[in-house]
Amino acid sequence: MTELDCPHCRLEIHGYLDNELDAGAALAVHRHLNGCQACQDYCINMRRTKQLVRDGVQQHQAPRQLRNDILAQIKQREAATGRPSFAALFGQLFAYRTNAVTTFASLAALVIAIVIIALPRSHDDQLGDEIVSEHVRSLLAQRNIDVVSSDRHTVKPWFSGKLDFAPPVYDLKEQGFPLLGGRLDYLQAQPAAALVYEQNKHIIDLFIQPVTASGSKLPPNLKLRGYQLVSWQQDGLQFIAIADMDKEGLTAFSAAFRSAAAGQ
Amino acid sequence: MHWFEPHMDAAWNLARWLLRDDAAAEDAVQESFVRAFTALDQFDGHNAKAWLLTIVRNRCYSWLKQNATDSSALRLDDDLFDTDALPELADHASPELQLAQAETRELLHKALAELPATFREALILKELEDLSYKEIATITQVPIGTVMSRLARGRTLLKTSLQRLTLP
Repeated sequence: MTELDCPHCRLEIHGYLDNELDAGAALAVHRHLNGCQACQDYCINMRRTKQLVRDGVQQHQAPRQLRNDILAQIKQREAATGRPSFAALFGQLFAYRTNAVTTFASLAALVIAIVIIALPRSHDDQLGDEIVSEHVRSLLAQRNIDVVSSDRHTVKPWFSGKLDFAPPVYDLKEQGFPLLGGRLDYLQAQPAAALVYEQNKHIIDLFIQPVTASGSKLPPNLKLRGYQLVSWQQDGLQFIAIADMDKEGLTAFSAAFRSAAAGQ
Repeated sequence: MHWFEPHMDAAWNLARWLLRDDAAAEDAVQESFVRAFTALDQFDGHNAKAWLLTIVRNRCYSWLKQNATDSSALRLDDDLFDTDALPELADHASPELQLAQAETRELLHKALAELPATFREALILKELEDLSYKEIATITQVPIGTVMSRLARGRTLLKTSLQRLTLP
């Protein structure tokens, strides 16, 4: 092991105080401190300074009004992120009607706009978008699990009384997908069970909802906004798994879940 | 509970300590969260807090650059850590602050506010938000080694400045 000199030790002391050094580096700091009074004093001073900042510096609390302002702005954006209104496009057409070229361009734009607006957006696309949004939001809010348990005998009863169907729950730890828990979610304005699994730090949400005549269906594999979706139906229930994994990885998950179901 | 709420206090605290101005911090946090909303599909799903704080921090630095009255407010040239340049602590036998609690807090805030922004943010993210070097590196967009050297310089400068303030 190389010996630390004082300037380097005084840098490493900070990683040491913050518990960020690996065992070898921490040992090197230890050895240097044992033989160097000046660096020992420095270390004590820095430990005190660190503690002083932790204990003495004010943690600012966000003003309540700020939360409401942000919420209002986001709601406004949410309302606006639908498709552009016909009136807005129509207004744009007349605003730019200045010469033949722009009139032609505007008319072309209008035709395209009418086609876009007239084409009904498929419900299935909406369901895919909704699932991606629910998945991302649950990750962002770090509230993606209402009942934390790897025990399916805890998770399954938790859903009863909250749903009018009984979602199957399996721990797939042996197959490489440990169960983290579950939460209640909503898809297409209907309650849904969401089971949360993990594989190598990737969070997999599995949404489960009864199949309905009017309900949307997704293709078995779908890549949407960077996320992979895999869906299937069984016993009158629709299953949709989503994660930031590749198609093969998530298909392996669905295969593991389905074979666990078949084994019951 | 909306998705951004668990991270509001951390975002506000960082913006408030970087900008030291309530109105500017409000604008920065609000703009950042609305911006995050429009870029939700760029979030990789791993660390929401770090992702949001990165956006807030970038917004704060844009504000600091626009409003810099003197260049010393925003020193960004500290990235190369010069071990020889690490200031020696004055060898006062006991630099313990012999002051009343409120006075200590006030001096501490003054000393922290005087630090260059890069050192101040490293200290805030480490000691108040309890983030790891890796998370701080992500948010401030520098290598992990630079996070450690900034904390080293930040703490040393803070200590020196506290000594100067208490022992005029």
